[in-house]
Amino acid sequence: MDYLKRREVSQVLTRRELFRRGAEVGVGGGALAFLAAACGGGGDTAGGTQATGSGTSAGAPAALSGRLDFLNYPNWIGEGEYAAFKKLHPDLTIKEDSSGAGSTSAIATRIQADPNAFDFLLLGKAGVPQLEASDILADIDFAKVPNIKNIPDQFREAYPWGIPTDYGKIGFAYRKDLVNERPTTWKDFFDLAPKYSGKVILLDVLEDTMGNTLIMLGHDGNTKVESEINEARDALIDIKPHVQAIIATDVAKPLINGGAVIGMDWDFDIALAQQKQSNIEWVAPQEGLMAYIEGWVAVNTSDQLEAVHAFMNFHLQPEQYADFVNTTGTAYLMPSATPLIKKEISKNPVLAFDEATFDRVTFEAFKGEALGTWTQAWNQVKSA
Amino acid sequence: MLIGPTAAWTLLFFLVPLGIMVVYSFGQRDVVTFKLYWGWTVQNYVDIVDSLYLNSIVRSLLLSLTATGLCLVIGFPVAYYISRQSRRRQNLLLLAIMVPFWTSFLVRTYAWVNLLANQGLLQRLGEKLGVVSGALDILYTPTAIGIGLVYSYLPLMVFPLYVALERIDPALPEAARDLGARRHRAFLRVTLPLAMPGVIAGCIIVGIPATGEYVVPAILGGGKTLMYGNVVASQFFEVGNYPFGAALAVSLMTLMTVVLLLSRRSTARLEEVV
Amino acid sequence: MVVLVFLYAPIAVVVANSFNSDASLTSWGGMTLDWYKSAIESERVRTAAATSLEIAALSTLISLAIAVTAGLWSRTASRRKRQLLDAGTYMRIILPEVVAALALFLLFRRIGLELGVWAVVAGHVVFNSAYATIIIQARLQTLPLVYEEAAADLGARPRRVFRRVTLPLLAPAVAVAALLAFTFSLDDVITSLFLSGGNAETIPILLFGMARFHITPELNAIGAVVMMVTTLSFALTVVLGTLGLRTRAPTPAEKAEL
Repeated sequence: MDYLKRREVSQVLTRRELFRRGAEVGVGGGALAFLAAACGGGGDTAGGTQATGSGTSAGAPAALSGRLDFLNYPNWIGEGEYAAFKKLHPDLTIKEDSSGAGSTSAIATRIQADPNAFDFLLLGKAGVPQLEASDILADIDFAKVPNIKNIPDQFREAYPWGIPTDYGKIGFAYRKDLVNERPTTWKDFFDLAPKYSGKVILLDVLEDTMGNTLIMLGHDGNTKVESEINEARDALIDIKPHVQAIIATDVAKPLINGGAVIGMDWDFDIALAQQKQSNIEWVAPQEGLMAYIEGWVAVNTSDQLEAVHAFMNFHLQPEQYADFVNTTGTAYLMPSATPLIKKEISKNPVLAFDEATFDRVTFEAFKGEALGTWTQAWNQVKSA
Repeated sequence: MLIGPTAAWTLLFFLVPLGIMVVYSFGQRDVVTFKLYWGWTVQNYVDIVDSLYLNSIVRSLLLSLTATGLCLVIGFPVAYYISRQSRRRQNLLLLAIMVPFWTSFLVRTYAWVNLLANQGLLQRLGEKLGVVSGALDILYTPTAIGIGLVYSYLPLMVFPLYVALERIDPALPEAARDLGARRHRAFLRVTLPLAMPGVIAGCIIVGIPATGEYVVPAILGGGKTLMYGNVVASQFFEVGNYPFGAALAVSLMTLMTVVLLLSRRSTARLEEVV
Repeated sequence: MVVLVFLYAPIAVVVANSFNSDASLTSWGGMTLDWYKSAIESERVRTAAATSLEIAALSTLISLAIAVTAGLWSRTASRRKRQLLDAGTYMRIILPEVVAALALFLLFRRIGLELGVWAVVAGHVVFNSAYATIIIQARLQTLPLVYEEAAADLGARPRRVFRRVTLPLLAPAVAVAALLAFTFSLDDVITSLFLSGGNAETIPILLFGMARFHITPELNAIGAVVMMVTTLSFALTVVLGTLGLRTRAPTPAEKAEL
């Protein structure tokens, strides 16, 4: 059973990486974006949505058939979910596709170029509004997804376009055996940087690193105000000489082997690292912290919306949802699934749902017109 | 006509798409709705003249020069050595150089991260041998980037060099020595000039793509430097401002073309001499 | 040979880590073949490997054809024409791969060509043929026309001259160009991603997708397997090639030894 454990561990976490790394990420998206643009820009939806069968009851859809194309990070789903759903609907296949996952522009282009590219997809709150603006999203009829009741309201409000599936907080961690102080705020993090110069790690995700810096400065983590964005940029440039690296792969590794003593990272990444190095201490800073929230949304040109709703409902069954969480190790949104979730995840203070922490969380949101300013500022930080 | 295949392929799969790209660079894209507006605005090009981007271009050029230089210095002796072997050994050695590159780029580069990390293999080896004490501190520094780049581009330099060197009849430098020239002189005045086409080819094959390199600096440099490639990539993948990305690409292309034209002029002169 | 050590050090790490039972690769967890097992068992990996090799082989062959024809033509072409060829060649490698790939993508969609293996091959050939041309030209520049003229004088028809004189003389350059093109194609990410359209997943694409938060031993195992498979197939080709190549010009080094 040791092997199984190892497999789970290695399957934990994904995406973000994909989202961030230029070459390593949704290249297809870029091309597709261009393409879509070439073929006449604005997502001209051919209105392929079938009229939702009025006779089907929400909980037990008529036998579905055909194929569902799902844009998802590889295997960001319960180990047995596809198989279990297949048992219910033997004539329906779900094909997972990862080309462009996580990159909104990639997705938008792909759909504009080929409206039938996929039926539904996984996307974070920070990107969905762009799809909405491009007229790509289908409205979800929640009457057909009754299991949505299992998701607490605060998550539904944060992610109203579809079903929220998971979230991740971005705080920081430090080696309590190598750091004398006990930092609890972002200000502490920034103040300690010069002292532990060369042993500080930053996360290579602009929404989170800039967002958390903005929070430290007392601003909104998603602000569109240029002066505030530049303030965050300057604060980051100030500590940059002390930063060892700005990375998004194996972020916790330097903390594990002692090469770094303090670093900004995702909660589940730290939870995993703690298994290897118990001296790693997680901090959800007092001023607040950024988090991403993501979920499934549907494409309005899909002709399989019935099946999409059915699968969404299926995913939100506590057993299936628990399978998903256990496979991926992510922080989860469904309290009612807790008894079915592995103790390492449900009992982990880093990952568990804690009101007090949650109140301090700011979800990454779409930057709108300010996107250019944000990218510019981040590039300036990287360029310094 | 012999030139048929080349002409067709270049035209169809290179020039035409490129044309499309250039047209794009004069357009605009709304980053919120991803709508593209065709037009003939030079706004994108104007935007490029910003210290942020210019700096990244300069940085990339410097990086490329360094990488090319290092590759040349290390690659030349290697190519020379190989060219002096028997045909069978040559093939073997060339193959030996290529084999590492059949493991995927990503896996290879992260192996370097592993090797160079404090607590990594290199550090432990150094400590065992007694040459290293304290932290190695190579990873995430320009040195690490240099190592990574040379590693990635070495074969690109070695191959053209080998091809040119292999054809040189050893009788020629030998004759020079017989005529009284010292070893270095024979090398400098006979072998090197004869190998020049290979040197030029190698420098171009390494130098040009190296200016667009940004993944190695990102991984081995700890993401702390902004290369020209980073900018283009972020335009395409994060922001979605393709026209601007296209403009960036076209600008660099123009710059590189100028550099090449100048180098060809000097090569032509060299060819005449040889 | 210090250089060889340098070249193979990371590979040693990759291979070693592919056996590491510690999934987070922060330390040595003990030897295990599990990663190889899951890599080989995974249909996705096998398909990706096959696709990669297929694309590499195709693009190498086409690139060589283009390069050799271009090289031969340039020997007897006017200066102006040669400059044009040079321009075309160099331009194909100057352009950042992202841009070239994107542009091609657009083109294919415009003319309705289906993305997949052939689209990727087309993209790879653009730059591979350029590199190959440069190498072949570098070699041809040092090759006097004497041998071919002699053969022609002796009555050999152009095709025979090509097969029995030119080609063997070009052999080292062709081999080198082939090696280079094959490797580039195998390792290529950007062009492949753009033009595969989700239909042709290659190993680099798969690996990049899998390497989200952590580099796992499984990735190392996949890399190691691909390397070994490719090495074996190349070794086979070389062995068969050396067996079949009876007439070949001795290298100057060998000649000197005589």
